[in-house]
Amino acid sequence: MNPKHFAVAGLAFLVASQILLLQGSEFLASQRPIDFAHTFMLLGAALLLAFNFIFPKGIIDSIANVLTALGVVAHIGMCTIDFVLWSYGSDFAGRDLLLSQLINTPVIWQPFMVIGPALLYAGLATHSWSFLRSNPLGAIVTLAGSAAIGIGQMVFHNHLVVLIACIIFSVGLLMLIYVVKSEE
Amino acid sequence: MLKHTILILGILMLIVGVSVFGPVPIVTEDEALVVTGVVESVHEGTSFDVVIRLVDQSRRYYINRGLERGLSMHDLEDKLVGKEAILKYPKYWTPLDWNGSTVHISKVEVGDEVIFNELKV
Repeated sequence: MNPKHFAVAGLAFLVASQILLLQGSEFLASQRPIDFAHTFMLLGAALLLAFNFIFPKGIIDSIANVLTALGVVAHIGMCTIDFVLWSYGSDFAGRDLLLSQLINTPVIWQPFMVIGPALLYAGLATHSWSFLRSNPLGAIVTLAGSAAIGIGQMVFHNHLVVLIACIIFSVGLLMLIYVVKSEE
Repeated sequence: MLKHTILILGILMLIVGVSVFGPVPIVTEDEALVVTGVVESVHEGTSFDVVIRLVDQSRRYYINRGLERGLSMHDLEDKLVGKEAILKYPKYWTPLDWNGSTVHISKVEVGDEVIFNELKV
């Protein structure tokens, strides 16, 4: 199977997970038999590693490869933590205890819940810098999408903004894949 | 030349990254800033956050992972909307929110009731 197929599947899983996250905390807590939202996110992140094997090799791409790989690792850690939190169900006291412990342990919270997951978007967005000349539209759409994800997540705290940004980001990356394909 | 430019850009990105994603400080009650106002709305934000808006204020106030910490939207709507609340928060700045339009809440009080508290003792 071509790495591009994995990458496209990864983007589809990522968008699907964002659609599920948009449904709200009550829906997320009631998911059975598994936490589909974070399972899709985990699969999406793992498959997005395929982008490291698609884009041309260069200095920018080497940096992007490292950021993307770190982001995937962080997503795996984040989803694992979210699976454990989901398993508490309606035991809010137990979950609060675990969550407080994690938040008060910056060596876990920062790399796996705050900084690390953002590196996946930063890494994929960094790849797009290589295309600023050959495919400016695709690169700009990707960069705008990644910036909008951060702003939606950290400034507006609005999941609809994050979902729309994620779709824009995915479209941008698909445009970049299409250009690589046409150059082959 | 290209290597130097990339190195400088890399260092700049690292500095921006650290300041963007730096942890929100957990402060004591004395160190916290205070805002009082009537709660206009409470809604669910991203990552299980609770977002609170006050009447006549453009700022958003949020409780980080509030819905995973025992808070429920129904309770919060009942207890907060239309009531005067005291919100306490740390002095904190991040480039992503350069004008402070989104504020991390450390404590929420309505009357004598403490709805949420993560202040350092």
